Amino acid sequence: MSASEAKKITLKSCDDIEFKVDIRVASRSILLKNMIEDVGETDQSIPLPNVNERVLKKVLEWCEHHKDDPQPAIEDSDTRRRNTEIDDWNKKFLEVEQDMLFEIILAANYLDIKQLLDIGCKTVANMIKGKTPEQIRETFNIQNDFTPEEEEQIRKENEWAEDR
Amino acid sequence: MGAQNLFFAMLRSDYSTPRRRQLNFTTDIPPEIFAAICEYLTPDDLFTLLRVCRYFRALLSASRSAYTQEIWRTSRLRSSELFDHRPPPKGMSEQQYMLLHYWLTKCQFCRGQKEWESKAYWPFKVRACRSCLLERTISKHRLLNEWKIPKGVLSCLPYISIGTYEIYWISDVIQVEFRFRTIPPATRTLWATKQQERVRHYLQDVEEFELAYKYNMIFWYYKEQESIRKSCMVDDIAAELAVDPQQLKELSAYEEPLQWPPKERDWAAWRHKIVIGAQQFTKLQRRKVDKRWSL
Repeated sequence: MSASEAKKITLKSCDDIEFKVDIRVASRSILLKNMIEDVGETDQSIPLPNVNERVLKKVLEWCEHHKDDPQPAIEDSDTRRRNTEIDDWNKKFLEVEQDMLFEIILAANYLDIKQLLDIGCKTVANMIKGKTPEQIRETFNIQNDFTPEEEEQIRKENEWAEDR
Repeated sequence: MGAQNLFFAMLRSDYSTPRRRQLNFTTDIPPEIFAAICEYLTPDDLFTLLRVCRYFRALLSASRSAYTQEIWRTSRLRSSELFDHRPPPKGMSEQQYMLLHYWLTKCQFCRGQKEWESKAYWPFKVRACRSCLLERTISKHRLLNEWKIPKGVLSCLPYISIGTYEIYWISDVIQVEFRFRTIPPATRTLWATKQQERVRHYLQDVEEFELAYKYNMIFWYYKEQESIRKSCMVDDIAAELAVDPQQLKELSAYEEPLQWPPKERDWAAWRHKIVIGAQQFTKLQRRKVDKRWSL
C-alpha cells in the first residue's frame, strides 16, 4: 500500500466522537471530498455538526464497503429512476429501525453521498408502494390530521376514481 | 462499576445524543427529500399520499411549487406506458393534468350517477357527463343577448366550439366578469389582452388532446367493425370447410391486426391466411377419420 492510499483524516460527530478514516472512504461523501481537496492535508478533525456518532458510524460502514466503487457517473436520470432494485448488501444494511433509516437519509443528504441517499429513498418508497392511506399512516406513525370537511372532499375525489 | 461512574455514563450518553427524539416522516423530512422519495413512486401511490395527511397533501398540491411539479412530472414520465410524453397544456399544473388525463374515470360532478359515459373537456379542465356539462355551460348567444356580457370579457374565456357555435363554462364567466368589473377601467384593456393571450395559447395546446380523443373514437369504431367482420368471415370459412369456428378464432392469424384502415385487398389476404390455417384442421380431421377406418 502506498503512502498516499493510507492517508487518513479525522471526522468529529456532533457529539464529539472522533473517527479516523481512510481518505478514500471519506471521499464517498462529495462534501468531504471537496473539503479535503480544498484544505489539503490536515491533522485537525473535521466537525460534522449535523451527524451524531450512531449515524456517522453507520454511514462510514457504508462508505467503507463501497470505497472501491467507481464514482457515480452522471447517470441518465431516467434509467436511474426506473431502477428501483436494491442489491442484497444494501438491503441488509438498511434493515434498521425507521428512525435510523431517516437519520441515514438525512446524513447522506447533508454529506452528499448520492448513492446512499438514493437507496435510502428507494427503501422508503418501497415501504409506501401499493399501500392504502391507512396502512401508510400505520407504517410511519402519521396522524390523520384532516378536518371533517377535508375528509369529505377527499372521499369525494376518491369516488370519482373508485373503479381503478 | 461504581455508582458515580454509572452516573457519568448516563450523563454522557444523554449529553452525547442531543437528537434522541424520534424522527418523524411528517416533521423531519424536508421537501427535497420527500421529492426524492416520490421519484420512485407511481401516480397511483402519489394519489394515495394525497390522502394520508395535510403535510403530504400540501407538498403534493402546491401547483406553483417547482418541487411539486417535478414530483408529478417525474412520476408521469416513470409511468410512460400509461401516458404519452406530452407535457401538460400551458396553464395546467402537472397534478391537474394527471387527474384529468388518468385518474378520473367518471364525471366529477355526479360521479357517474346521471350518465355512465363521461369525457374530459380540456378547455374547461373538467371531466363531465353530458347532463352535468349542459347544466354548467351556456351558449355565447345567450351570454351576449340575455346576460349582456361584453364581448371583451368573453374573449378572456376558454370555450368549446361545435362548428362556429361556442359554449362557455358558467362559473368561469361569473368569475371573470367580476374580475373585469373590479379592475380600474384604465387597466382593463391591458388585463384583457393578457388574459386573451393566455386563453388562446391554452386552447391551442388542448386542441391536440381533443384531436387525440377524436382519433381514439374513430379507431375504436374501426376496431369494432373489424372484429364483427372477422367473426362473420370465420363462420363462413368454417361452414365451407366443415371445421369448428372456435378453432379458427384461436389461430394466431385471427388476431393479427389488419392494415388500418383495411382495404378489400387486405381482407382477402387475411381470409387466405385463415383458410390455410383451417386446411390444417381439415387434414388432421381426415387423418383421424382414416385411422379409425384402418383399425
